[in-house]
Amino acid sequence: MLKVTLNFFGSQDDAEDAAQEAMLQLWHYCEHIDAERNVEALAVRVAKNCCVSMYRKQQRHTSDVNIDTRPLRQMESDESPQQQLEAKDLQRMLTEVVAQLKPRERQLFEMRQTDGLSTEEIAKQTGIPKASVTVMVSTARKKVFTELKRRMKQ
Amino acid sequence: MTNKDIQQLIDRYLEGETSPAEERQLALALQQREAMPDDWQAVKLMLGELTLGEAEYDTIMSQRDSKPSALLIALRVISSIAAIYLVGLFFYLQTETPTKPMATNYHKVETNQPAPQPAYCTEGTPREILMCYLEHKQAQPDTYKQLKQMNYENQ
Repeated sequence: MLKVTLNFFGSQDDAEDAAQEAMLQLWHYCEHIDAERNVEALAVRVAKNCCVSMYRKQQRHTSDVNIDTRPLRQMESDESPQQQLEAKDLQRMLTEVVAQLKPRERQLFEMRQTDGLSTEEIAKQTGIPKASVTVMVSTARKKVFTELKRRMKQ
Repeated sequence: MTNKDIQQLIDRYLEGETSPAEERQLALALQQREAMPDDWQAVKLMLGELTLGEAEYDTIMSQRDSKPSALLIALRVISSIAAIYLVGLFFYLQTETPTKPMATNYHKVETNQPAPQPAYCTEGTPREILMCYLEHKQAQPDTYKQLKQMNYENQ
């Protein structure tokens, strides 16, 4: 994680801050972590996420911007408390919908969504043939997609 | 990315056929849309914050790679100018003969003499050259004084 953050910031202090934040964030995912899951992949993704969050905060405090981050800053500044609340509700809705999946479907769905693993990597880790992984991930995604749409219309 | 491209990626995503890189691309494209249908909203939610965060991370890193900072550009320009200057100076010094001013002065000195002096004390053993030099020095003390003074002034 420190390697990822150091690569992003270049400064040891910022990198350590981001890595520490990433460790805290990773704690929230502990319930998703089990023996079959690739913790390293998840840790790297969380670290990258923390880098981006910290970078946005830094950009808001400095006027010397070399990189075009308008979409990021717009997204941060335009988010009202109501939108943040809606985002939280949507996230809760997703968690509920995913929890309704079959254990295997849920595992594969999360390996793609949370860990960011490819079909090949999932097949290698779980021992399930690649074609079956694709079918199961597709089934899980379609179920979640249909349920989310139904709930959004309500 | 056009709406058609997004829809195609969403269809492939639901079929489980997209790669993680394509999913990051899709997350970024959906994030940049202000208004979108419920279908797209649902897919955006399914892709998750981590996918979006990773996509933004990659974008920032690629922008950094392709766009060097102003300081770096300035340093490159300064070092290029310095290198050109040094190369120019080197060639200028190569073309400029260091003995040229001395030769002119020699000429002036020689004009004061009744006859042009041939080259001397250039052949023989070191001892013979030294002896030859001392003989000439004794024979023409004024010339050596002038040479010494010119050398001092040049320094």
